[in-house]
Amino acid sequence: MSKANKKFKVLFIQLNRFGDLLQTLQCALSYKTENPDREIHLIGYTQFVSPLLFLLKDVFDEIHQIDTKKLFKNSSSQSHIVKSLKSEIAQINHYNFQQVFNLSFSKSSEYLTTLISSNKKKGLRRNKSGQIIIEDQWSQYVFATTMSSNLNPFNLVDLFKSIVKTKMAPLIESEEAEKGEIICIHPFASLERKQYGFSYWEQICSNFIIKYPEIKIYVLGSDLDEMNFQHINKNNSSQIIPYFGKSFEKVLEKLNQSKLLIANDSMVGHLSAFTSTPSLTLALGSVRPEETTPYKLNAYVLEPNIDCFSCSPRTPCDFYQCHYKLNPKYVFMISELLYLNGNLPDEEVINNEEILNLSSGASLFKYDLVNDSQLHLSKLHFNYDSSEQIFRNFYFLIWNLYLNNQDTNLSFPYLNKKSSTELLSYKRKIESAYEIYSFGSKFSSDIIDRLTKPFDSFDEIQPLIDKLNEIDTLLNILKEGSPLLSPIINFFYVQKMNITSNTLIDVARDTKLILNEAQSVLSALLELSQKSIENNIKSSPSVSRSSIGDN
Amino acid sequence: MQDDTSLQNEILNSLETIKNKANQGVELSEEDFLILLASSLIEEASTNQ
Repeated sequence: MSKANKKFKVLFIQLNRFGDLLQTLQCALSYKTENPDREIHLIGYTQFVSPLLFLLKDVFDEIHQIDTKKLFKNSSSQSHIVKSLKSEIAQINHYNFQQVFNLSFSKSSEYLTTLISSNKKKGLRRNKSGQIIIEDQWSQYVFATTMSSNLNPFNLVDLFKSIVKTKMAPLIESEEAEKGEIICIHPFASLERKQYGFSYWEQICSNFIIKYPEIKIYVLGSDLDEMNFQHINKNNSSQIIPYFGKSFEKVLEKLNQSKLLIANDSMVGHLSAFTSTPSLTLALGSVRPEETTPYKLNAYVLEPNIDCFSCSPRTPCDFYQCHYKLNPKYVFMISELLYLNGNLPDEEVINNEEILNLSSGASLFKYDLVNDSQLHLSKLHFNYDSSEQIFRNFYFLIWNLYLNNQDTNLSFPYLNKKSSTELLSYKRKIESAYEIYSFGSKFSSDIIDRLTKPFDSFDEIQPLIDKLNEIDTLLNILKEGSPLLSPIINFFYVQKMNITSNTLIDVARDTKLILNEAQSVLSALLELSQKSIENNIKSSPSVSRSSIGDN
Repeated sequence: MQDDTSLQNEILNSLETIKNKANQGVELSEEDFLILLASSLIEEASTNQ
């Protein structure tokens, strides 16, 4: 066997689109830096992998592509497709991967992961009965929380890094590219609700070109976006330059030359994470800024202060109120500061009264490096935190402690009357959830006790199992009226569904452990809520924030 | 070459058979998982267009 064949081989599976592929690349970069001796491979769809090869090949030793167009074009029947797939998978299995990371969370990736031979697999796959199995806790977390709520506080790259177990801090681009008097904008998005109005973009661009006659604004987009260029450049200014249908390599080059990128939430932002150029993301509609803001320290986000943000893409909305909350003048002023300074000094934002007056409709966030390896969005100027923001911060502390064994310090939330009342009402809801889990733990103990004694038939145990199953029903009812608790209820349910023990008594023991863990997490949440309420009573917002999570 | 509809029908029939197998507690084979993969690739290819 050659020396190369003895290398520890790792396969990353990413069958989602460009944005996820770029976020996977950032995770893989960290993994490769920490494990330089390992051979790392990627498998993805040709249509997404191919345009990004120039970046991917710097990190991945080998890249395998699934070309669905070719696969289906050349296959005359199901048996042909199956034969082709079998042959492709046999080639992949030839590498004998010691570790497989499925970071896609999609159906095809589940089946693919199942078919790839490896003793160590992380992420979603199927068992022999075709049911989803998720063995690692962070993949269970992603499955349980990011799919069903907007309460996940972690960037997707940090979630991937947690699954893969790599802890490198995000890269700070030290190689300073020469910056021209250029800014790039990407005013397009995959969904209308995520796309800031063209008339607003036009106002922002006009403000720039009036004030800075030397500036050039490049409008980035695909061929299909080109028809909307006229809406952004109504006056046919030569300072606003179309940059459509270019290769990603060219776009990256242009981003490198720019002093700033202003964009809707899109893959261009993720591309900018591979440059030293700061970015300002306008997070609207169903965007979840905590998850998808470009993973870099000089990423800034503006998000509307409105209860329905961020919504589900499926929630009907005819009138995008969140778009109106984001004043274009405010966007321009923040962009201008970034264009001139390259960053946003906190004091400047807080002390500028004009900016503060405009900021009532939207909050400005930037990334902080936390725990030496994670990015956390923190608010740059004072306004009250919504209940979702408060709970996201609580969950940042709790999941880090529970899943990473990591203590974290964050500021106490600013509570207004509404959020104080909600936090108080949640104290009671947390106590109710705790009580339900303690009943579940007791029923598990009863089952264990019963199974350790002689019994004639399983019928004697069935009533206890039925009682235990009722716990999930009760928790689901509680979750309906307490959506902010859904991450905990969903996570421990997914954990329970993934118990791998073979005997009934072991299943009961594992269930008891999980239910006890749920109680511990709820206790931590209760304590954080209590401390936040106490802190709010004794300190005024003008006093600097003290920290939670100190002990 | 089969048209798209007959290929889809062929795959749908196979999926039904696999589903029945799973419901009866029969372990799925490599061939079954390959069909499931093919089906999901077709589904994703149409949404990725």
